[in-house]
Amino acid sequence: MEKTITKKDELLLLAQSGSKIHQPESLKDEIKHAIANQSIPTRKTELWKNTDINELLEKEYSNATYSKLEANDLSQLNLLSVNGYQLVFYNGFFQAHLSNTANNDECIFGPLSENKEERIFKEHSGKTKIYNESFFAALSFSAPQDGAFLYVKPNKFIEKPFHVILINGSPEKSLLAQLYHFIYLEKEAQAHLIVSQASLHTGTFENNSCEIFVSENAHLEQSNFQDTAQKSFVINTQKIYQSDNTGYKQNTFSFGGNFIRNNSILDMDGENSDAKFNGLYIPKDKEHFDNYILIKHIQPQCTSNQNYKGIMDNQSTAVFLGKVNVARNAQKTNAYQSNRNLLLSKQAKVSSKPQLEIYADDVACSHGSTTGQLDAEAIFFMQSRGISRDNAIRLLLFAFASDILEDIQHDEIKAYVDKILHHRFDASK
Amino acid sequence: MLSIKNLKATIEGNEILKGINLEIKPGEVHAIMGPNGSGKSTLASVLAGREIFEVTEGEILFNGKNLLEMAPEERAREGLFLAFQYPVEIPGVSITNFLKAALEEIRKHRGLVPLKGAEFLKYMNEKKAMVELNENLAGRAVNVGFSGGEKKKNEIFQMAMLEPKLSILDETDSGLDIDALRIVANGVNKLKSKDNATIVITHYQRLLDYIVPDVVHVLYKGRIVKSGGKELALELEEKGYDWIKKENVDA
Ligand SMILES: Nc1ncnc2c1ncn2[C@@H]1O[C@H](COP(=O)(O)OP(=O)(O)OP(=O)(O)O)[C@@H](O)[C@H]1O
Ligand SMILES: [Mg+2]
Repeated sequence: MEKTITKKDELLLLAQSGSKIHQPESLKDEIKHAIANQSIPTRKTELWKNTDINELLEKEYSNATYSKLEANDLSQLNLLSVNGYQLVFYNGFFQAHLSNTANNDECIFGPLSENKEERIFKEHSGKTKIYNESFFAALSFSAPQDGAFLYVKPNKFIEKPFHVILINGSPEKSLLAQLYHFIYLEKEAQAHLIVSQASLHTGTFENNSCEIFVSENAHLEQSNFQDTAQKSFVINTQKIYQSDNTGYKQNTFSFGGNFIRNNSILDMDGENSDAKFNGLYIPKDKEHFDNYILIKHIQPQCTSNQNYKGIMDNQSTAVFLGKVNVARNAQKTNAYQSNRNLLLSKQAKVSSKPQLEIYADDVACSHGSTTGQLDAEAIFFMQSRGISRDNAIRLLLFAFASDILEDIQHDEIKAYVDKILHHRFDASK
Repeated sequence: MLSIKNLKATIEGNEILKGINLEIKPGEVHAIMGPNGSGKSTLASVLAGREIFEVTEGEILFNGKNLLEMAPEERAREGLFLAFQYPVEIPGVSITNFLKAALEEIRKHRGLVPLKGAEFLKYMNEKKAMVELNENLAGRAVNVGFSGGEKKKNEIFQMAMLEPKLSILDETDSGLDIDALRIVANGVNKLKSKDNATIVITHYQRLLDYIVPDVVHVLYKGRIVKSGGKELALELEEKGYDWIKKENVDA
């Protein structure tokens, strides 16, 4: 008699057979535990109440094999192009011919499969216990095919951005792509990480996990651009660790994709640190974009700021679940959360839950959430000045997103986002 | 310039305008007065093309063209301007960007190329000076956080920028202090020419001392029940509307 295997087992077996990266031996038991104790989330799982992953689970996945990504195919995706270091992965396979790695006295940037800093990796990989965040995080962390490795040496300020490009998709089968990324900034280091996710074909489940370590006095900025295909599934889980006097800033732009779930968990475990999360998601059709952010204020005198905005069209759905947890010891914490949504269609739906859990007494925290439609009075007012209805709507959409756009420091990125938004806002009327 | 014939309009099934007739020629100033709720702003909104009002009867010709067939933006491009009784706040859109977009589309309609950055700023500065608009207001989002009077001034500033043929000022005087009233009125007078016309909706004779009307109309319960020279405004100021209401009990 054939033994029925569960979806969990199936995904695990598949991941393990495709994995080429070994996590440190010392974590073996903990990982085993994490996998045994966590099941695939359902609508009853606290953090997945408004997230439907049935479609993801219905698919039969297979392992990707190496396939060469042609430069032409990559350029046709119109990704952000910046003058910097670059790593390209296609369904979890490193594409050396399209990449520009670094290994010098300032930094090391390359695929994990070729990483030259075993010591740092062994010492720190898994230190955030990212594998306990969800089944998917454990799946990705425990058995990755490959991933980005970034190590910035002490006191180094790297002006060139580190661009990680993750392309997925296959013309025939549904694939499982699993990546784990390791980012480590030494003391006083400063860097800009860019992660672009896109699809060449449909039908991949891309499951990323990422650990980020920001050592004392270091600063990291991260910009995420997500524009994946209509039939793909993307889950990104990242866990960030901040020491004393550090800065971390994340800008996440979700432009397209059938299903995108971003999980960001931040441990503010040093004093005098600053964290900022900006997000702009603009789903259309039946797309589902989901952002879960958990900020843990563990030490005193830190500031965190979350500003997420959604412009939702057609029958799209979105979830914003933002949590701030202020520990008893984290006095003089400032924590702000804001989520605003603009619904362009009556069928679009958003679930917005900013939450504060405060155990310290000397703190300044605020949270807010609004969901509304375009202001018909404002549109008429603009029309009455000769501005076409389409143009009026575009002005209002840009105005809605303006604080997020104004917070982008880099001209190239600003121009890129502007271009995409112009394109989209022209189409969404 | 403007010819309104038997105009009837409803909102949510209630008839607000019940047969308006009005003829305005280039160079003229018409004042419309009348009690609260009589339909003055409704008339202004219908002229500007606000869709919540349904025109059930009548026609409006604007420079010979059928106004009711045009979208609000087309009316503006053809030279119609409404200074709103309650100007709208537009968070996130700066006055500069707003007017740049508006002027560009209006100029395009008139076959003119857009003004270049520096030209535009120079033009804007001239108009700002004309209505004595506070320097730092122009950099801010449209009407957001403006005082009542600043909003009204901003309306006249927009009018100055867009150089309309027919301007409808809906209670632009209410909320203005005495100096601002004079400035706004001066602005309107400076923009006046033999080719353009103005409709001034107001409750107060005071404004009409500055902007002298050729004709004064009284709108009551959706109809123009009386028209006369500028003396009519003085008479209304003195006697109120009771006598008009009595004359029109059956209306
Ligand atoms: N959006 C609306 N919905 C329902 N009724 C409306 C609406 N707008 C106007 N009305 C009604 O139409 C009538 C005329 O209103 P309107 O604003 O035109 O009066 P008005 O003459 O401008 O008055 P005021 O002097 O107070 O400004 C009023 O009874 C008003 O309640
Ligand atoms: Mg009115």
